[in-house]
Amino acid sequence: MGPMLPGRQRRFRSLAVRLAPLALGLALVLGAPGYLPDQFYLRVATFICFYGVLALGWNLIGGYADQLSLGHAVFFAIGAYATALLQVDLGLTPWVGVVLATALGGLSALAFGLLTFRWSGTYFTLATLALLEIGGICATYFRSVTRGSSGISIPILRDSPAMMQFDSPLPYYYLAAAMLLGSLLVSWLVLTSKLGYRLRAIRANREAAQLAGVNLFRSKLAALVISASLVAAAGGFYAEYIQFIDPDSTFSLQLAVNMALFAIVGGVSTWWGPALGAAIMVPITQYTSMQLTGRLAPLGEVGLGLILITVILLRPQGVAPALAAFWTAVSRRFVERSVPDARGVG
Amino acid sequence: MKKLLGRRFTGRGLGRGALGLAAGVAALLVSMACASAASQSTTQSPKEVVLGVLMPLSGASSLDGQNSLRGVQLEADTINARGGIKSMGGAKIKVVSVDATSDPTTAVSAMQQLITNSKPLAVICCYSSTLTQAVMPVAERNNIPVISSSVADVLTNSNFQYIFDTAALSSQIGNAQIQLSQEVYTAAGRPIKKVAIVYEDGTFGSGNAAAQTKQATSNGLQVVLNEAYHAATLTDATPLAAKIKNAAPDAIYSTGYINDSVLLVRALKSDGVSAPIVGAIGGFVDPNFGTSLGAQANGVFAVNVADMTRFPELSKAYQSKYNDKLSATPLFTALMTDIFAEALETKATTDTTVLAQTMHTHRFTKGLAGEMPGGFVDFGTSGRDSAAVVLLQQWQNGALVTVWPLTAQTAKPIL
Amino acid sequence: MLGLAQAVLNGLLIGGVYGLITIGLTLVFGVMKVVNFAQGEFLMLGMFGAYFAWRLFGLDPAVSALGIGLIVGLLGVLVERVVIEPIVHATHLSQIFATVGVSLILLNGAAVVFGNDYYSVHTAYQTSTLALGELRLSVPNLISFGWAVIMVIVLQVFLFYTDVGRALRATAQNRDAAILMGIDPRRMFMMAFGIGVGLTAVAGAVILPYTTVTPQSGQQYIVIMFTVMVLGGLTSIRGTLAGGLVVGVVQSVSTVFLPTSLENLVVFLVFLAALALTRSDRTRPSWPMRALRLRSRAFRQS
Repeated sequence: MGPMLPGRQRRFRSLAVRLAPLALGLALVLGAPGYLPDQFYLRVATFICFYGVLALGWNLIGGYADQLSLGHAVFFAIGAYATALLQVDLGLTPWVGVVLATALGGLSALAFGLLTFRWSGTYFTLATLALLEIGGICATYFRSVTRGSSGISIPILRDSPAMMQFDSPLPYYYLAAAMLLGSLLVSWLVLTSKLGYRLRAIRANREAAQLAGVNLFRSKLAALVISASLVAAAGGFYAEYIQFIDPDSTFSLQLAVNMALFAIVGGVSTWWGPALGAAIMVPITQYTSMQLTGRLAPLGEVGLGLILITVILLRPQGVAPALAAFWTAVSRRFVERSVPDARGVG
Repeated sequence: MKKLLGRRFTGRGLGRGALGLAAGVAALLVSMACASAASQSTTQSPKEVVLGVLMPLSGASSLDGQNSLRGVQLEADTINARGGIKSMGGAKIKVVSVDATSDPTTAVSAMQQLITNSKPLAVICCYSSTLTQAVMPVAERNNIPVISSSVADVLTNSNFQYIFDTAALSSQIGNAQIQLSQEVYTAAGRPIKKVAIVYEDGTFGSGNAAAQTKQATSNGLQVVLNEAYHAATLTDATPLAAKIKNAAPDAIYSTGYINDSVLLVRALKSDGVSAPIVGAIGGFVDPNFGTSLGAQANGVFAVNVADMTRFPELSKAYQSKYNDKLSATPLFTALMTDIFAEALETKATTDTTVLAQTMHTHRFTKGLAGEMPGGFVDFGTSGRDSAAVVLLQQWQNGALVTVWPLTAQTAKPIL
Repeated sequence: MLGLAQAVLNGLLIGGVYGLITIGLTLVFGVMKVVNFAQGEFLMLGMFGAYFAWRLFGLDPAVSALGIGLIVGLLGVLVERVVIEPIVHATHLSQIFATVGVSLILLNGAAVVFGNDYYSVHTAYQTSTLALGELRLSVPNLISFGWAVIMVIVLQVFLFYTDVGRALRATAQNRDAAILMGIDPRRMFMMAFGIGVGLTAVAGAVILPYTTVTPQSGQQYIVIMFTVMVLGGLTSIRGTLAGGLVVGVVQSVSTVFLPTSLENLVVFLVFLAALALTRSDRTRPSWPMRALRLRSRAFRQS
């Protein structure tokens, strides 16, 4: 049992342990171009940020509100198509296009929610699946608007920052990183806001929450609108980054499952878990798709399925809570610099 | 507790969050390190020229992607055995293959990876028009010539400077489907008057169908049915066959992939439809079409862009190396390999822009290019081979034979 | 008019098949209250099993169906023990995504083993039809329909006249009461899941002659399965068959008036409509059941 630190030192250390990870995280994210060896890794990092936004978006409705959507790619596709069509048909710069696409995502979520929130649990999930398929079929069928299965190619404009086209991958990374940080902020804000408290109440005990005066419908709808907006924004970014979209790649069940998968692995109950999930899983998927080619390629997906099942059976709350607990234990030792004695905490 | 934005800002949650982010980035770094240890990184020696191959080696198109790669490997080996690229001091062709998968997003990353890691002089890609369209922006930005055999009109109509397409235009194929079959039946005294046009609703099918409709109308034919279907979800073609039967056409024109074409033909036969069926490349000329349908394939027509029976040497080499029958897919990628070699022989270079220039201006007549039905390959400024022709073939006794035009006929059509 | 009549007939035949492939899903949901998102993959495994039975032993799928069903059923029991049983009482998230995980593994595992090719069998009766006046009945479809009816009858006998069957129904009606009566719910779950996926595999074998199989085949049927299950009132075997007939006819008739590429759109819209109509009151039998005046005594939601 060692000497206790004086109060001032403890408070300083306490502040340091709270801010240090934040500073470190920001440095790692913003400084990535500095320490990543080449363009290939920068692209992977861009995808991590991109999937992080998607997973965080999904979590707002899937984790916070316990409405498990397997069709969230619908909003992604709406965002991608809106941005692409606004640019290709109206010549609108994607900087504005993405904002409009985000708004459109939110609006469609409003309609979506009004329709489907009468159904909870598994019925809601099945309905989201149906809506995803319906979206895909409509996008293929209404060729005159969406170019059907041929997809939309964003015309290549060399070095046109005004149209969100850059010759180097660096600006794309910063754009994605900014979106990720923005989504993290939104996720934290929602969780610590009144909406977040209400959603947690609903998740804990629906009837009690209702009795306490929580409007179930409005709370879930709000969560869905914010969730869809984030996902639609990511869709707009995707259209400009990959410069080609078609119904199969946007109204994609695989994408919808991956969003949820990353969030679950990371930790659905935290505001930052989904981003962690993306950071863990995206490099794994990239690595396996490089190593496993030809006939063995689907083994990567088999691996994803195994990871999903393992997480659900052994640690359904995801990686984040364990990590958080670890950090708390370590930082407490650091702050107090001793094991608490019988008189209590120093 | 500080109050920030009206909420309790303990910082603890934020701190843990940032920690999580840091942990995630650390995970990223570790896995990247593993990945880099395993990734290929080739340096180009003067004794080698790098030919990239980007094909779907996994996913729904994996078989065609695999066959495409085989065509390149076979021809590259042949060229290397003969002494390589003589104008470059006997430099050998080094084939570097990356899996495009069947997903456009991954294909784009794969193209980027191929260009960055292996610095190819040209890339042969991507079997499907969708994938080719997706990766073109990357190729254009890096000035890498892409040699492909996609029929989609849009590829050479989009001002891409670095696309070189050896296949006939989709519109050309659609026209030929109507024109050639009409000629055959008119010559036999049974002119076609009413046509049904069915197709898969993707770029491939819709492009063809549009051309067919145009040609049919200008030839004075009546289009009694124009029906699209979604290939990926077609499990039962009975309703489609019923629709066709109800329309009572003199001939049925179909464009699709192997699975839907097999289902459609089976359903039509099952429904007792006797009108001739004319397919367009894709599933109808796939060897599996004959195997899956057996005797029911006999009599079905299909337009094709090459006659396999005219390449006995290549067929034999392919059969002995891969124990599989040569089909149009590997034939065309072998052709592209020959074109790549001939371009370098014409003007030796390690500059991709110069290579592209050569490919736009040179007329290719050596090797497989000279054996193509047109007699040569010429990309011109558009990037599309102006010598690409379309032949009408028919399934007879489980094999495809050319029945029209008379100049290319190897067997008489069975009506 | 003839075209419409033919479409209705085709729809009934294919509807019987839709009912058949969904019965297993309904059984699993009724007893375990878990929606098995991997059910389509067990269908696909049944189809592959029948294909290889044909290719290696020359067995017609109609003959090998039961054997295939048994093998896949045993695989189902294994999956149930390892993955499903732990999450029977867990959150929705766990239940849904555990079965999604199984689906990923089975689908992609099949892709690795079998490749992405399309496989089909050749049977003597594949393109035969029977004439019914001016109408034609496809023989493979007729055989599948026959199997569907037989399976429903067999299942009803099993559920109502055997002890095990009654125990299953009891577990479905009221799990706690069943436990009090001495029924071991874990054995019931194992049985329900095994029989459920086994039935779907039998259906897969039976439908193979008139379609093709590829690892993605299961995904092509899964939303149809959900639609049929919801329409059928979620837990009634006879209702599932009725729901299947409705979906089959609606899909078939819609292709007469609408473009073929929209045939699945109609199914999905029917699905949403079915959800809208059935969710309002879970204690009454669904409207198709009421319309057909069938009361489901098999499983009633309590």
